[in-house]
Amino acid sequence: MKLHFPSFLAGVVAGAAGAAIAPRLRPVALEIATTFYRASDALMVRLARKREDLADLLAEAKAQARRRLGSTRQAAA
Amino acid sequence: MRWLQIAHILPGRTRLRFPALRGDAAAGERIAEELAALPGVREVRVRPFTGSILVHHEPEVTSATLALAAHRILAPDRILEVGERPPRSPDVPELSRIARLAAKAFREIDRDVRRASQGSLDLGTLVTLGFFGAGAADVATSRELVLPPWFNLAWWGYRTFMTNEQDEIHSADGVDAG
Repeated sequence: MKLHFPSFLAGVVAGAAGAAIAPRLRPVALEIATTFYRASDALMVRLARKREDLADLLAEAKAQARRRLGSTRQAAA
Repeated sequence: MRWLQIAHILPGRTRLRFPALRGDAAAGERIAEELAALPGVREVRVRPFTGSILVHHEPEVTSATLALAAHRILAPDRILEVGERPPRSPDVPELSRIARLAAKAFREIDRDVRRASQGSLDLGTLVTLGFFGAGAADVATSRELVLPPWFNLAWWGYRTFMTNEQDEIHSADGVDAG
């Protein structure tokens, strides 16, 4: 395996710089993770509400079907 | 703003929605008890996760009766009718929290660099020198001057123009507007 010196150097510099600035970037990383959790939570709530809306729609369809069935029976009688 | 919405109405079935119910299990229990005690109410299902209050009742019970009973317990700022859009907060933050924290972090890193170098370097200069150094090291070791892909060149060309000709662009905007 051939050593690619610039890549090696870039790796060393990135590692050293990362270690040096990690404490400074911690609040940013924390906020990004928090935002991610909040967004996924909001998405789950939205999905659950859409499921409820679908249940409402199905209940409405069921009621409408029953009503129509009832009026058809009345007309037949 | 806390709002209670009449989300869906059918004869004998009403869904109310109160988003603030989330994280308030006690309010969920109280509202379930209050609504279940109303005459003509058969079943109340509360789901705090979505803020949903599903009530099965006699057809004579109106959504207004249920909303008023819920209002007594939950005390919302507004009651929204079916299909009404929830109010939006007028406050729009100037900058996102992440952007603010990132700016603060980079200001602190900049201060660290200036302190460590006793004023010889700042973060901007260090990064610039780093890029120049990495480029020079690459050319020195590979002994090749490789051109970046066309889209990088096109982007850099555009950015260089926009950065260096800012004054001209602004004055041209003024001329066009006038």
